[in-house]
Order: sequence, then C-alpha cells, then structure tokens
Amino acid sequence: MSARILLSLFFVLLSVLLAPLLNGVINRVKAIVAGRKGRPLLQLYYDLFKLMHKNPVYSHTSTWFFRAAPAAGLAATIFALCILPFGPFAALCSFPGDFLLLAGLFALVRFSLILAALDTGSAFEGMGAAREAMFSALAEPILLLSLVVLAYHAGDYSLSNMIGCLHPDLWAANRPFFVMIAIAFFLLLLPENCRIPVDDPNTHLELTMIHEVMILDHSGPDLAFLEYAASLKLWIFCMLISGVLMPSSLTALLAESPPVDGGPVIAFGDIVLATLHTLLPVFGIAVLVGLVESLMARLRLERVPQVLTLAACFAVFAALVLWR
Amino acid sequence: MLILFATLVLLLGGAFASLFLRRGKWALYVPACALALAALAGIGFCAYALLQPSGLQASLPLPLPLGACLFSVDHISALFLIPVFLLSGLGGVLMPFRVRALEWASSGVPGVTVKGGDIQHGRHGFFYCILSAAMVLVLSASDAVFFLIAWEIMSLTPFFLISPQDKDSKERYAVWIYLVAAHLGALVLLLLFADMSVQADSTSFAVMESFARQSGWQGAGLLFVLALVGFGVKAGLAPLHMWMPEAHASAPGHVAVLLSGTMLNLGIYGIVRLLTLLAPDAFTALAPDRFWWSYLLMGIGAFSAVFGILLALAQSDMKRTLAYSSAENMGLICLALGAALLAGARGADKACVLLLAGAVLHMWNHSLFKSLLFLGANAVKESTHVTTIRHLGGLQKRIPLTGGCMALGCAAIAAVPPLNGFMSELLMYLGLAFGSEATRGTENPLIFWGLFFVVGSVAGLALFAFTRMFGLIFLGTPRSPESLEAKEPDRVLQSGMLLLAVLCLGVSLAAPWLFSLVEHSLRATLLSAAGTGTTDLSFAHELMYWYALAALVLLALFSLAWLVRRSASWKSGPGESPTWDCGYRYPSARMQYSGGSFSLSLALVLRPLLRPMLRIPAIRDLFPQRQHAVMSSPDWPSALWERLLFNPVSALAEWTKNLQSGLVNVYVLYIFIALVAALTWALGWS
Repeated sequence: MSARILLSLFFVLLSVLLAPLLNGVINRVKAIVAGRKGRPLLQLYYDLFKLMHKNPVYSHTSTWFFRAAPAAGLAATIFALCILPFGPFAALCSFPGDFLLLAGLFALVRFSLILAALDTGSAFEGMGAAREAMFSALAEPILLLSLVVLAYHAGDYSLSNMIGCLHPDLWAANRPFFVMIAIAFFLLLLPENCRIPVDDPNTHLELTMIHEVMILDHSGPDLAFLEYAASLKLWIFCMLISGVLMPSSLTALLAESPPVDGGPVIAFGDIVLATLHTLLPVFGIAVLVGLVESLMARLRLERVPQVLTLAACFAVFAALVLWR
Repeated sequence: MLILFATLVLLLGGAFASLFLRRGKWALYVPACALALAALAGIGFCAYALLQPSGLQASLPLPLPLGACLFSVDHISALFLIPVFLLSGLGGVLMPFRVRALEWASSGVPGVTVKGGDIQHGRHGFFYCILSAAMVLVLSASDAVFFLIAWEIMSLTPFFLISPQDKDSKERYAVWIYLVAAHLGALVLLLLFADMSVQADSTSFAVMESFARQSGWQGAGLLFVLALVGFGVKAGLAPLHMWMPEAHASAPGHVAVLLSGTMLNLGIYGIVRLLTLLAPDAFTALAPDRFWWSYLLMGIGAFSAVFGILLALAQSDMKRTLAYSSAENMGLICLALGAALLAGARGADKACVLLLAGAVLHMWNHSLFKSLLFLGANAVKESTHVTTIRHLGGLQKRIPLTGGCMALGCAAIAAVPPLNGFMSELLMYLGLAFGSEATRGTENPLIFWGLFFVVGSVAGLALFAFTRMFGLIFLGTPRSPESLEAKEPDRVLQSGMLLLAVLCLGVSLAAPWLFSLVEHSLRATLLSAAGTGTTDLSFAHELMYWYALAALVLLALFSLAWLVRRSASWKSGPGESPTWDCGYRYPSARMQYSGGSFSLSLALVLRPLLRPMLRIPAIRDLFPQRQHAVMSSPDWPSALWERLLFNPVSALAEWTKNLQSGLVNVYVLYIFIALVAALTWALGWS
C-alpha cells in the first residue's frame, strides 16, 4: 500500500472523527452570541455514545425500510467522504466523474430517509418527507451545475483535481468565479443540512420542521446513525466550500507526484501545515453557520425556494463569468 | 437472417393457432409458448447480429403493390430489438395468467368466470403475437412501404389489446384516444415517406441513404419536422403525449409492458433511423444550416422530460404516474440525441459517443424498470382493485415481494446509485460535461450546462415522484379495507417481477461491458464516418468500472453499518410500540400524508409550470357544513391541444352535418351551385 493511500485513509478517518465537532462549534457560537455558556463542544459525541447503548423502539407500522434506512444513509455518506479530497490531498477513491457520484450518493441518502419517514405512517413524518423531497429536488440541479462548472474550469472530472488542486495563481485569476461558487455552495448548505433560515435543528414539533421531524420515530443506534450521517454531510459541504475558497501552495508538489511511491517526498511539516490549512476554513464555515443561525430568523416555508433560487443565480452567474 | 424469419414464423404461427383455437386455455398457452420461443431465438439473433461487422440483409419475394419486402438488421436495429424480444417473451408468458386473473377479478370470486366478464382468448392471443411480430418487422424493415405497413399493423393492434374486456367506458375512451393519436401520427409518416420516395425515386432505405449522400434532400428540414411529429407521437414526447396516460393506465399489465416498455422505443428508433436517412453522417458532421435540428430535438426532449415528470408527480393514480414518467424518460433520450447531434457537429467526439451510449442504455433501462413497475402496479390492482394512491397504503407488510421489487424499480427510475437508471443518466451527464469542455470558446457550453441543469432537475423531481408513489402506496398504514386485504399475485407474475428486478441489478453491475458493447456498435453504424480509434474512451470504461465497483463498496459499507447496529442493539432486542404522533393518542390511517398533500407544496412552488387547480371552499357561516376541497393538476399541454385543434375540428365536423339536411330542394340547390361553379371555372379558365 503506497503512502498516498495511507495518507488518504488517515484523512478519511480524521474527517470521520472530527465531523461531530462541527455541531459543537456551531452551538457554541450560537450560545456565545446569545450570551449563554452553551453545551460542551463534544456534546454530539456524548449523545452518539449514549444512543448507541440504547435499545431501539420500532413502530408496529414500520417495515424493514425503516430499519435499513439509517445504515444505508450512513454507508452512503461515508462513501461520499471517501471520494472527497482533503484539502490538497487526493481522495481515497479518486476517478474521473466522481463528482456525479457525490450527487448520486446524496440522492441515495435522501431516498432511504424519505422512505423511512413515510414508513411510520405518521402525518408529521410524511410532512417532513414531502418537504425534504421538495427542497432537495430543487437543490440537486444547482449542486450539479456548480460541480460541472468547476469541472469545466479544472478541465478534469475528479473532485480531487477539481477542488483539491487549486493553485493560488489560478485561483487569483478567477477570483469572482470561485467566490460565487462558494456562495452558491453555502446557500445550498443551509437547506441541505437543515440550518436556520430554512429549518431549525433544535426543535422538532414545529410544523415548519424538515429534517428533525423526519427522524422523529427513530431511536437508539438508528438515531445515532442518522445524527452522525447528518454531521458528516455538514462536514462534506464545509469541505467543498473550503476546497473552493482555499487554494494551496502545496498543490504543485502533490499534483506532480506520481500515484505510486517514488515521487518527491512530502515533508511532514508540509502535511501538518496543509491539514491545518484545510481544517481552519472548515471550522470557520461552521462559525459562519452559527452566526447566521444567531442573527437570522427562520424563513416562512414558502420563501425557502427563494433561498434556492438565489443559490441558482450565483451558480449561473459563476458559469457565465467562467464562460465569457 | 434465417433465425429472424424463424422467429417471425413462430410469432405468426402462434397468432393464427390461437385464432383457430378460439377459446379455452390452449388458445393462450400456444401463443405464450410461441412468444417465449421467439424471444429466446430473437435474443440469440440479436447477439449474432451485434457480433457481425456490418448489417445483415435479406429480401423476401412477396408481391407488395409498392416497394419490396426488404429486411435489414444493422447494429441500431439489433440494439432496439433486444428489449422487444425480451419483453414480448416475458409478456407472452405472463399473458395466460393475467387474462385469467382479469376474468376472475370481474366475477369477484377466484376460479369463476362470469358471462360478459370473459375475454376472447383467441383474439387476445392473436393480437398479442401480431403486435410483437409487427414490432420486429418495424425494426427490421428496410423499405419505406414495408416499414409503413408494419408500422400501421403495430399501431392498430393495441387497439384490440388495451381493453380486453371492453366494458369500462373509461377504457373505451382510452382506446379511442389511442386510435386517433396513432392515426394522426401515421398520417404524418405517410406524407413523409411519400415525399421521400418521390424524391429518391425508390422506396428502399439503402437507395434513400445513397440519394442523401449524392444529391441531398429538398426541404430536408420539413422532412425532419414531419418525422419528429410522426414518431414523436409514438414515443409519447410531451406535447404529443395525449394518448399515453389514458392507454397505459387502462392496459392490463402484460399489455402495458409491450406498450410502455417497447413500443415507445420504436418512436425513438424512427427518429434515429430517419436522421440517418436524411443526413447519413448526422452524428459526425451535421451541416451548420441544420443545427436547428439538434436544437429542436433538445428543446422537445427537455420540455418532455420536465413536463412528464411534473405531471407524473401530481397524479393521484399510480398507473398514470408511471405513464407520465414514460414521457419524461423518452424526453431524456431525445435530449441526449439532440445533444449528441450538436456535440458531433462541433467535433466533440467523446461527448457524442457518451451521449448516444447514454441514450441507448437509458432506453434499455427504461424498458426494464418501467415494465417492472407496470407489472407491480398490475399486481396491486389485481389484489386491491384500486390504483388510486389515496386508497392504498401499507402494502409492504402484506405483499412484501411485490413491494421489494417495486422499491427497486422506483430507486432505479429515480436514478439512485448504484442502480441502472443512474448508470445511464451518468453517461448523459458525462457527455454533457465533455461537450461543454470540447466546445470551449463558443456559445455551446451554455447549452450543455443548461441541459445538465435540466437533467439534474428531472432526476431530483423523479426522486420526489417515486418516493411519493412508493412511500404512500407501500408504506404507512392501509387507507382502505381493500389495501388491508392485499394478497401476493400468482407465482408467475412474482417470478416475472423478480426476473426484471434481477435484470435491473444485473444491468447496473454489467454497465461497463454493456457500455463497451453499445459503443462498439455505435461506431459501426451512426459514427462510422468518424473512423475508429479517433477518440480514446478508456477513461469512460475506467469510470464505469469504478461505478460498478461503487455498488459493491456501498454494499460492504452498508453491511458494516448494519453489523455495528446489530451489535449495539443486541442486548435486549428492539421494542415495539405504535408510531409516536406527538402526544396524540388516536392516530388513524386517514391522518397520514396523502398523495395530494405530499405534492401540494411543490405544485404550488412550481405553479407557473404545473398550473395546479385548487378549489378550497371558504368558510362563511358560523356553523359550516361539510365541504370538499378539490385539488387537481390538469394536463394542460393536452388541454391546449384540445382547445386549439380538436375542438375546432370537431366543431367544424359538427357544422358540416348541417349540409345534410335531407330536403330534396336543398340538394337540388347544391347541384345547381356546383354546376354554376364548374361552368364558371371552365369558361373562365379557357
């Protein structure tokens, strides 16, 4: 096994470990803005640990869809993590056209979650499922368009080369394009991860809830899987944005190294530096999400499509800027 | 070619045997055997034809009044023949059992057939075989007149099949609409081929092709539009789809398999074939003044895809949802064809190959999963006698096998990886992405991105439509006594569905090899002018392997997660309780989300496109009475046709009846007027 694969594997594990921390950061930011002390940063880890040791309770109505969906969702999200580059480091599985798999895996997660929600036969969960299906149906083409425009820019069709290998000079030459794509991604992050102007992750009984109300009937390890998959999805979006926004000077070094051993040796210090260089913006985006949550009220449901339209506008303008 | 003739003889033999046997079970078993044998032989023949370097030709010395009996099976025909043989064989095997189930259903008691509810077995078997044979003929005909004859037989026979019992007024209406639409389409094709054969001075396709190479058609654009309209009606492309929801929703399962799974493909085949006749190198070098052909194809494809799926997600009937989604899938194929034309003309060979391969694979996939879904819908209808989403629910617990197969079909049609629907849309996405890259510096990237966006939104909306359909019908609690008592269909239908489900899975795992096969045969036919080996598609093969591998990785990850979950909840086992409904103690089945409420908010957001009609009564009195709110999503493109074309025509026809007053003096007046007019014309002319 070459050093490159080991390194990628290490970064996948790092993402898997760090992802729940994002929720802690967001909640801490919200608490600070509100003048509270706030939950511990590691609260989600405690929750997950506790949930893993609980017995699940299943509704009489539900079938195997309900039981299989959380595991399927988690599996798909972890797989999505494997095709995502970590900053300048190539992804574990990197192949041309993998950006389409990313969108496809999100569709798989959604498909299983919606069916699981409808499986309970509850009006609330049906409502959540309908809304989730609707917003993601509107969000999916925007995500795809942003990704294909990035691929056009890079002239390459793997995520690792699309967002992992941005040279600072190249980035500077197309700055408006990248900023607009990043804004489009951020506007997609909010509905896709049920963040505040669209959805409120803290309550589940309000009638405007989407994600939280869909997982109302899940319990025990199933709920842990769903929560964990949700935090991984947030991590993936943050990584996408940071990949677009943060060019790396390490790019040149990594891009030229052949996939097998024997390429130029990367110094350990460089690796640490690049890791920090990637992690900082990721947590920076979490802080931004926390600020948005603190400073904005939730939108009425009928205005959520406008957020998505705004995202679409940014993606389209980015495409136009690149094309001109 | 002998094998092809043998399959045709088998099909015709089965047809006439069942006509002579008239009644009884053998009148259905004999054609069923014939169809199955023909399918086996036919698939073998297709494999043989695909392995040949060029097409196979043959002619029969049959005396036709015009034209000749010319057969030709090239790689394109073979690619389209495979689903025809597969599904007609499958449908044929299912036919005796489905017919029996229909007869029993009308009597209400299994094993009993009532007078009036019975089906004329001989007639049904005859037309089923004839329809299959006609489809094979359409795909292998290489002469305009012969093609038209086969086309007409193929268009006519479903008229006798859609409503085998012929007792429901809705079904009769569907059949009637079908007949009218099929003939309007055939009329346009008649004009098209008449003009072409006059220009080329021959009815043979081979002569027409060489004519196009040497002197070129006059008014080729008009001919292309005629072809698009004539074949578009058959393919059910969106503004021309009026007949599809009616006919497909009424037809019994084994007929719907033929109608939706294979007959729509023939419309696409017609468009492709006509493109090769009008401009033999259309996919490699389209003349610049013909670029609008590709724009037109893309436009119609995009329109059909978007409206098909939007209308599908607003339907309250399961089978109509499926029928509208056929318009969507045919639209996607058409869109890919149009984009391939443009990419080929701009020299983006890679994109062209990918898009064409995506179109062909999607055609196959659509045949598979749409047949699977129609069979599943048929199973639901047989056991519950309803297809309205509002009256179903909770079927997964009662009919788990049908439910599992339907879930797989829904996931495939909603383009969820790693299933086959995703694989073919993946090729389209990639083709569009490559097209935009290869045409850097022109305005075309914008077109390709636009199409990319359309395909993406259609995929998202398909996920909405099919999670809605499956979730509301199979999950939750039963909404009616009928759905409470649902039973699994007979073994034959079960194994038919299982076979299709396995094929869906198999296609997704075998996608890399199928892609190579399709690419090879496209290079031999549509892209022959580009020369072989000019484009390197090794990356695409690699990609397809990766995606097939992704299925296995996903499965492995899923099992891992499942094991973790099992070990975590192992200690005292899961508990059971009613669904938690936020503190309300008596949740009932009627409180669940229904089809209308599921799609309401999306219908409202997309109001300008979908035009939903809402009638919510206002509450005025202090003590309001029982009232009804109505929500419907009318098929407004069809309504527009009705208003602009059908109603004026029928009003005109209605008016001309006045001419026939029955009074002798009025007829004498007509004669007088005609005489004067004729004299005036004759004198004035000289």
